[in-house]
Amino acid sequence: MLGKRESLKLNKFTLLDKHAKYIFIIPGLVVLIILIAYPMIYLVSLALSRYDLALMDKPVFCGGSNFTSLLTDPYFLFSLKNTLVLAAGAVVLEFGLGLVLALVLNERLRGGKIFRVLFIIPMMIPPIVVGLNFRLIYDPFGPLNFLSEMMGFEKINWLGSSLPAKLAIILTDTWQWSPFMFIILLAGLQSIPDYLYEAAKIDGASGIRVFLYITWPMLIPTAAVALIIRVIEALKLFDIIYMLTYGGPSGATETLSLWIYRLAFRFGNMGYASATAFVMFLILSVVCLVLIKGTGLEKRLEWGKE
Amino acid sequence: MFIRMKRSTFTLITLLILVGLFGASGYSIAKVKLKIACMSAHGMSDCAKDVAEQFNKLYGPEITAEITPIGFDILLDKMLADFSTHTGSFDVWSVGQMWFGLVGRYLYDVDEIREKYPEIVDPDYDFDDFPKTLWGICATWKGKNVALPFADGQLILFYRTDLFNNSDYKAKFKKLYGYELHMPEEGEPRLSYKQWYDYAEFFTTGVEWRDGEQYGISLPAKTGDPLLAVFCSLFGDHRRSPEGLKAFGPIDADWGDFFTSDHRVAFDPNVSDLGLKALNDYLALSEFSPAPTTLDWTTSPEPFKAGLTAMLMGWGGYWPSITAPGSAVRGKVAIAIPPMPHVGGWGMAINKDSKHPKEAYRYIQLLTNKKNCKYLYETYREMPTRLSTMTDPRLKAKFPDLWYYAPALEKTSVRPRLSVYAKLEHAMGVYLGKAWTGELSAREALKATADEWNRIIKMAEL
Repeated sequence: MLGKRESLKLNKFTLLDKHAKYIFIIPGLVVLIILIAYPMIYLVSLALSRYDLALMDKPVFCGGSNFTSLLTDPYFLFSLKNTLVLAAGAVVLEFGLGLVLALVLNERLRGGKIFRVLFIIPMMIPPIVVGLNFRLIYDPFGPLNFLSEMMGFEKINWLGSSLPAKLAIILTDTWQWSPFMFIILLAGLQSIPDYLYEAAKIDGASGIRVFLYITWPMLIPTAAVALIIRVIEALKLFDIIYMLTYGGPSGATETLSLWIYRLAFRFGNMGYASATAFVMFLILSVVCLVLIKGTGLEKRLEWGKE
Repeated sequence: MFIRMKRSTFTLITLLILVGLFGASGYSIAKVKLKIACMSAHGMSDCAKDVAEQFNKLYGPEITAEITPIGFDILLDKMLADFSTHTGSFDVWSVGQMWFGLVGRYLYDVDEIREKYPEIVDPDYDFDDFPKTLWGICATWKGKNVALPFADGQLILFYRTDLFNNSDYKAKFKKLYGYELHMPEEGEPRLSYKQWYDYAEFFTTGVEWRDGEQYGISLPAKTGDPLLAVFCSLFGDHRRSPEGLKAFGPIDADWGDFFTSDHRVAFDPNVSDLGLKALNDYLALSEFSPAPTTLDWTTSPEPFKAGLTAMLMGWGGYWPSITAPGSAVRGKVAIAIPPMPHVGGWGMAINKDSKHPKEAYRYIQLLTNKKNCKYLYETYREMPTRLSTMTDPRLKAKFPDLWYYAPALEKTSVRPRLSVYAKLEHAMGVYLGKAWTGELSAREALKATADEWNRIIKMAEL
């Protein structure tokens, strides 16, 4: 028989054991509340307020007027358009290049391992540094124009004209983030069972048919995850644009992220900036949802199943 | 008991070591530690640090000053964050004169500090030593003295003396244009726009003065501060002409050259043709510059320093870097005043949330007094704000670029100092920039900019 003291100790441990899962998640929950939930709630409250730092000490509730202003704000509309164009252009290129590299380096090539390491280096460089370096590359007197003049082409005002500036940003982002696609897709390729390829070989399937009927279908879940991550990141693009063009020339490369930053920290219009940020969050959520449903990711990864 | 004795002995020894360490390092807790945020460009923060050392010698260890250099690009963001959160992270800020409208209400009226603490006022400070224009825009806002002038930024013309003094080029220029190739010097009438254009054209296509690419001028036109400042200079030439003053009335110090005396947008094509003339002047000059829409304050001096352009429109503070050892144009540069210079200007202001306004005023007074203005100019080439420095004969003999400061201030263009300045600057970049990218004609770009400015002003109820 247990004594009183031993009995109390046992009850204490049983209680702890019973509620252990809650005890373990409390630190994470606190962090979540402080870093995500509270800021989100504050963001929404600011979005529903008028708060101009140049004129006011405190936010003043104004309902949904910030949101209705957004609908007719030309700056919001063209920065949204620029965001979608730049993101789509960059992600398509990154995916294409990443897939080609992954397919090539999935084969047993001499020096393949070294190339794999070299190809991921751009991803490790901070985007600000990438932006600074590419600003020098795109300079009218920079190496890119020097090379193009050597080949008999005219100089391009990369960062001073609308279309070249957009292209410059897409190319810079592609240079930095194709390695990300490459790594993820390579991992996906390497997880495809060999016996499928052997069976296809026995059946005499051509390279293209193997890709279309074996490689690509098996790669879709991985590709979908990589695409979703890159689309979210591309839609938030800021650092490279800040360093290369600062939204110019004449707003041609002004994205939502840059516009929100300008509204909040240059204009001091915190209420309107918060509303724009909230709308951007909603747009990103919708885009993610569309991608998840469109690629059937839920089903493929069997999410939601107990 | 033995364990308790061991524990207390250990604690005592630790305390003794800590006290000894603090004593050895000379650590002392300053009663007041002033935190000063200063723009890092043009040697401003170096100057602030130098004076902070003087200050610490004078008032330390009880009161010390610590400088944090901050880049121009993020200075306004950090300033707004400090002011709006009322944290008082910094006691003193270097504030660009164009930002007074945005942050003016967060700054101490230093008149109040002087009245409250008369014992700290330097009797030799001499407020009259500041040029009236500079005092008006770098030190006052809405009738209050909110800062002390620290740096006088002026947009001026740098030019290659070896090219302008070349006898062959002079002869050729005279033959082509019918007058002398000559940059006005001290005491001479200012450069006219026609001369400026002709010089730029001549050194781009009129004479081969280098192997490879050559341009008449390095002219910034990048979205943001560069575009607005240079356009203000060019428009200011028309705005302050007799025709301009008749059409628009006198200049309001807070609204600047871009507005009429009754606060309408002066460059609006519906108001007058002078705005279009100025923009066409700007576009025409841009033809003789390498990629003007990519040139900002950092990149615009580079083609000139590399010897690719005959002229540069830039801030006076560039002089030390342009003429530094290793520069391709060292020894070949002089300064001229453009048709209408443009004043930037920086003041040192005290944060209203500072807990040490008295000590902060001591610092900014020391930084901007007569002695330090001369000292900082001579040591760091810090752009002087006092007439006694600008007109000092010894300094003028020693430094060939000093002469322009005083005469340039006699007639110079100024930016708006409104609470919506940042919005106006952005709108100009978006709409006026389209005249360079070809998306709009000059008139359409100007009209779109004026319409957007009118909308911003109306929404702000100014």
